[in-house]
Amino acid sequence: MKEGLIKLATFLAGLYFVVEFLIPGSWSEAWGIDALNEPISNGFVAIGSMAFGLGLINLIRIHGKTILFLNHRWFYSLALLLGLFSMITFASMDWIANLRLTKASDKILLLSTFSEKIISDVDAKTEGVLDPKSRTNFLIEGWQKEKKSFSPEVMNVLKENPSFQKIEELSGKLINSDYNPDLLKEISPLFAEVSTLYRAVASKNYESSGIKFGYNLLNNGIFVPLGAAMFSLLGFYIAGAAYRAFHVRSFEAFLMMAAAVLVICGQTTFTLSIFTGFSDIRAWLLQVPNSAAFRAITIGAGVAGLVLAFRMWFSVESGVFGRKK
Amino acid sequence: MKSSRWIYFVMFLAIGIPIIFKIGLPPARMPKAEKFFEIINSIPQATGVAFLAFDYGPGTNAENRPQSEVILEHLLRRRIPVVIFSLTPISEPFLQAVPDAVMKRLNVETGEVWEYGKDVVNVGYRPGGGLFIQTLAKSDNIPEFLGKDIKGQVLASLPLMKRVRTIKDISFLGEFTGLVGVFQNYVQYFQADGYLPIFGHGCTSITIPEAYIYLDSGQLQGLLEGLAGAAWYSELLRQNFSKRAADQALISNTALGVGQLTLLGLIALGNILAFIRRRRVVQ
Repeated sequence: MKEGLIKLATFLAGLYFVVEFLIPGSWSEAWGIDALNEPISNGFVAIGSMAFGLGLINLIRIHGKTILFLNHRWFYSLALLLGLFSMITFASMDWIANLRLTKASDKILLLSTFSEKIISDVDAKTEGVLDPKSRTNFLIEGWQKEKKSFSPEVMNVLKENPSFQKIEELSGKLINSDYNPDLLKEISPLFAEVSTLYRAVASKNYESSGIKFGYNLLNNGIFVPLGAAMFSLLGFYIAGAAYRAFHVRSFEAFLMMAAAVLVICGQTTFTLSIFTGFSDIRAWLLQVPNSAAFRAITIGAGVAGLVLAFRMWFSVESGVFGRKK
Repeated sequence: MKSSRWIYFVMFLAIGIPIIFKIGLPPARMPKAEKFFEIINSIPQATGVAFLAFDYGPGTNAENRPQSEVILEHLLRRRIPVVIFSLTPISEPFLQAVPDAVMKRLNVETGEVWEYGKDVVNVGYRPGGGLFIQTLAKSDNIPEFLGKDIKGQVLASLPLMKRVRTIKDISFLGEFTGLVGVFQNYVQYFQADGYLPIFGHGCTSITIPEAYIYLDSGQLQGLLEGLAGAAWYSELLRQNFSKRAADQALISNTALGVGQLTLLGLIALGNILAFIRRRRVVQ
């Protein structure tokens, strides 16, 4: 029963993509298949995200056991989990800090939208809303509330800004006067400017915070150089292997070596200064024999991939669920 | 000392000396990079929007980062707004670091300002691979589909994103990767209703042969062939913008050239020694 259900789900999922890809666009729109594309893609992303979670749980389970029972080379497992958790911690904290920053900036931007809305509602005589004077008061109260949430460092910078000073001036006038659409029109773009300025100042402030330092240390200071170093080692291994193993013992080996030498000569300044024709030879080698060979490989791989895809679509491929008892 | 250690030492010297002493020799002329340069020059300034995919990680950073920097720099100099994203999570450190470095360098050189949100937007890592590309290409409202940028700002509110609605508003797609199987997603899926943006690709030296078949068929219009391509593009930028200083690409390319020639020398030496040994055995 379980096996049948999985095979059916696999078939239907595959069928959707086959139909969606092959049928004309107008049919796809008419049958509503086009509209399903985005939610289904998001569904696949969600399933993929589950794989991250599974991987994480598995890592913790295996390496946690090694550490707990002090098994062979437990310190490597400890290093792995420490690196994992520290990166998760700092990345999450960085993400949350950025979200908070954006949220605060968006609240100021909202004041700009609100001030325009007050004017447009009065002009359109919208019903069911408060009187414009009350709404203006709410606008100014909202601004005062937002100002209180600014950190002292950010506030010190914003206070010097002409747009901020103008907002303060106009806020005072708006509180003490009746509904004034001209003042509201004047204050609206200023809120948008201060929102952008707040974001810039707060971001700059955040760059010198401990969270950002930790994130940069782990990411740019450790992850990137280590990744580059691991890849760089390959160059040395290749050089050693090339010296020992690249011996021309047959005509085919000679052809391969000659092609490699000519391609390298075609893209190095030193060799091109000796003979400029290397560039044309290189271009010919890459465009003619190489392209022909790669096309053949790509077509072969494509056909093999298609056959495998069909086998998986129809659940012919033997696996855990297809195993015969 | 074992022969392998001598080999490593020789390679270290060959690659290290140009980098340590900052020796940047003129790069070899790369016609494909020249064509790429003309393509970027032909993008209309008034309406053009470029999407750049930085699908590389620390491993291929040495080749792909200079490529992404020169292309981004050229687009920014022409004031063509750029949206940056990636299909791989390992690219995250570069998605903001590269545009920040380029904008800062341009600001120092020209005194002009390039703003985030107006000239550059970082959309960040997007999961889903080919599915994401397909959905992006078919979307009727790309800012809404993408949602927010890396800082959490709603994309629809950013000035740059007001120029983009569907794929037909994207003039140029640039993709930089050394990973296998990523580039083909764009070739297959980054199109809709017969519309194909101009497609430029920056690849590592290993994947050059694979990229050539798409260049030959016209599915790819511009190609930067590894670090050599980036170095020549950098040289073209220097020729066209006189105040531009030489960058790291020239030094890295020199180191790479010396390293490759050293490798050829080692292979030749290995073959000669093997031949001599074989002759001795026969005698």
